Amino acid sequence: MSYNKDILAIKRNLLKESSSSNLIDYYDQSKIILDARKAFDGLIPYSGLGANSTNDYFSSIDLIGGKLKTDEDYSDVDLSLEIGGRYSNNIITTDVPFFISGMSYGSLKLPAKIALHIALNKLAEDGIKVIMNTGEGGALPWEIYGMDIENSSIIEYTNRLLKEHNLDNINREQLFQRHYPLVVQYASGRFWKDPNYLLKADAIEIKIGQGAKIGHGGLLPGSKVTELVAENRGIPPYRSAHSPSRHLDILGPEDLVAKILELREVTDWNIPIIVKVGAARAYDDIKIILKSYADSASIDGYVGGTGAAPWEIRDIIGINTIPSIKMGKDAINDYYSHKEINEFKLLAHGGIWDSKRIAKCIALGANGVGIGTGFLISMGCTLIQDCYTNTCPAGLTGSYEKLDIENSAKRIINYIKGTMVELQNIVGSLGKKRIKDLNKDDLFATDELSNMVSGLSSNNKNYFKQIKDKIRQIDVHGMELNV
Amino acid sequence: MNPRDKFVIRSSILELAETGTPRNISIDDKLRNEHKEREIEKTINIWDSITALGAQLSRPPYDPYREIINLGISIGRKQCLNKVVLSMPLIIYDNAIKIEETSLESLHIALDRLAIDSNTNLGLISENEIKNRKFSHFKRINKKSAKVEDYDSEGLVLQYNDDKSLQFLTDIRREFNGPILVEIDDDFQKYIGPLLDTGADGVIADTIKITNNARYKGKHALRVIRDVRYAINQYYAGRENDGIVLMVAGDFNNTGRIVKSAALGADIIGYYTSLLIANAANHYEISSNIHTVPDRICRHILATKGELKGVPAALGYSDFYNLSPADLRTSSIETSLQADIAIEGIDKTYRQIIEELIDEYASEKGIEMNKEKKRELVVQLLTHR
Repeated sequence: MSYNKDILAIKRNLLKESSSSNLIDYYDQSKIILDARKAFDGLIPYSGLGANSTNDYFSSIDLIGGKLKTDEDYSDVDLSLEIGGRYSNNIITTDVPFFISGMSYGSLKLPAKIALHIALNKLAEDGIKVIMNTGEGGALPWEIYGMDIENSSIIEYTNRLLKEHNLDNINREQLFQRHYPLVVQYASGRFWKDPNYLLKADAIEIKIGQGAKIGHGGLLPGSKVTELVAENRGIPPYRSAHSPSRHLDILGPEDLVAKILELREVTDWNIPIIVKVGAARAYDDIKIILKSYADSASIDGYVGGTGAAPWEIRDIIGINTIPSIKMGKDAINDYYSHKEINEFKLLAHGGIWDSKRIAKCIALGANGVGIGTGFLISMGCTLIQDCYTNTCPAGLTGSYEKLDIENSAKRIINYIKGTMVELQNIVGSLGKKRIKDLNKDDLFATDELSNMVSGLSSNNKNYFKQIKDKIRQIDVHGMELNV
Repeated sequence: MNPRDKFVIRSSILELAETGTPRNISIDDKLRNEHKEREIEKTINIWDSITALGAQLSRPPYDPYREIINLGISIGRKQCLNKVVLSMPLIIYDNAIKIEETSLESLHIALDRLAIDSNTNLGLISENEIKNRKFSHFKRINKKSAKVEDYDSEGLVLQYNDDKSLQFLTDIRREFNGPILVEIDDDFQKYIGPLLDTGADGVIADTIKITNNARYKGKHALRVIRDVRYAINQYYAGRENDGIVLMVAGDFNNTGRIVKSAALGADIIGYYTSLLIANAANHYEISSNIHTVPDRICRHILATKGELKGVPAALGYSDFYNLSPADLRTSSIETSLQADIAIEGIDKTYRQIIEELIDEYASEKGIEMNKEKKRELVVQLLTHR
């Protein structure tokens, strides 16, 4: 689906105008865009990236101390993250507690995917392993095969892919290497046709849903389903790809168990399995995942990004990342009856863009976090949110704007290294040796609601305690409560 | 996220991406400083602070592209012989808007086209005569001007003014076999029982009018919906609802608000922005005329219909009318108090939290508190937050 250029022009002009007007106007104007689009084409309007949360709680929760920049050397602080081992034979170990969230080829253009691939390879050479998630659109040939590939149809497809993007001259030897852990998504669309997609992965993520379109299923607008994207996904070109809103063979908890056991058999119980859900009934959903032979659960908050989602679905459905982590952690604690067992990992996504937010999520109970938009911004994303069209001004999600792969890879490396050092500084300046040691005692909330939704019950600013104090005051000085 | 916040976030990430060295200040601290500098208070838009719980593992979603999602609604209780069936929960409500003639004609053409070409029957509330229509017309009448020709419309709408309105309703009920909807005011709690006893098939709550009146001054439209629905449920306590509909009108101009209102208890939404939408589309065309405006209205309604199917499906329902307050969560205490919506992450309303804390306190202190005292204490704590 493509939108009239005039509609995009309206949107961009309104954005420009609104940057100099007050905030409420902006929101109303965005609704005008929606109405104009509906009246123009009679179709459900889409948008890219995440929802506009009125309150994501990140700014009203802070660490008690923790500096991004210090004169001390905290390079020995352990930031590692391990996923797997609960039921899988293999464990993925990474050097940072954050990773690249699922952004598939099709949603992202090939140069952006290659920039991420090259950056993670270079980081791995420097001894920093970071996980990449493929997204639901299948893997690219160099993500699952090495230079020794003998399958001629894959070689031929690779040649066409690179030629289409004028990347014929790229160093194939450098491209056909992967030194970082790859998590592949097993989503309801089953957009992959090569069994090696599962067999050569380091972990499998069963995607039940994502924060930007919970209960809706994946979506790639037709204009972005080019012939090469279609070939990679095994679908017809230039037609919108609506993956089903649910896995046709996973309708409930029992089906999830059956599916995980099937995948375990296929992979000889070697590969860790993660189950990803959009944040809604987080407590119940995580409890189901805990009982389903999964190694890890991944939860994607309301602000979680996307390449395309129906605008209203994105804005109406979901709960924020902070309360979803709290609910997920509650489910894990209840399951293990508060024993110190760390075999099950909770991963969080949605609006987590820098070291401080990562530290806050981990202190609240997440073991690792996924970042998507942060990496796109590093590569030049302007946050215009037109990812669903073929008119991305940065050339990341569509359009013929050229993306400088080398420079983008350099920026991704900087973003990761900078965030890593900041995290080490935060943890070290809090007097801890490992990021795993962060906990709720390291946090405080600056308002009543944030205190409640994040479950910060143990510090001085506990608002539950304050309300009880008020009751006590009324009891002592006001009405006689005892009747 | 507003553009200024976007700018802060983007510049902060770019700083890292360009230098690869630690920054002096985090995104959250920067945002906080920026808001402080510009003296932005955290004002919460009540509508936007409400979200719905999507279906995932604990409840599977439906698929609007592959499965049937019901949006249709029948208006008329047992006693109503000629019920009106709408294809979606929208009635165009022209009350309080001065509509110029060509726009009105465009609207009529659009509603006809929707009924004929797209099998989508919408209602229209209007006091005008509309001849040769294919859509359902609910004629607004009053005691003074009512005449036999009015009964040619599919439904009637009258305003509740006083006890005489009940007599008027009884009189027209005898002669008219279609659904009769009654517009209520902020005093509805006093007369909703007799009104329903007299044979109203539905009530219309214009939230703008009601919140302008003393009893609801300063309250939000959502509070009105909640209260009217509560009053209807009280009327039916212990009995099956025989088809009473609650129609709400006011500032319900997008799918999000329609869905949130429906979850709180509205069955039908009075939608009067179609005409404005036709004008909104003028952003990219200078001229507007009777040939283009009906098409725009049709397209807008069909896109909205698609959205309205998508949301219940994503929440795990095959029927739009299965939405309930239990599907909603809020990220604001004010919203929780206004509309009794549970706070996200806690799954309780703010009032429930306070009540539990009082119980906890009473049990700790060995106090036996009666219901009246507890209610008084809750009110005191909520008033002096």
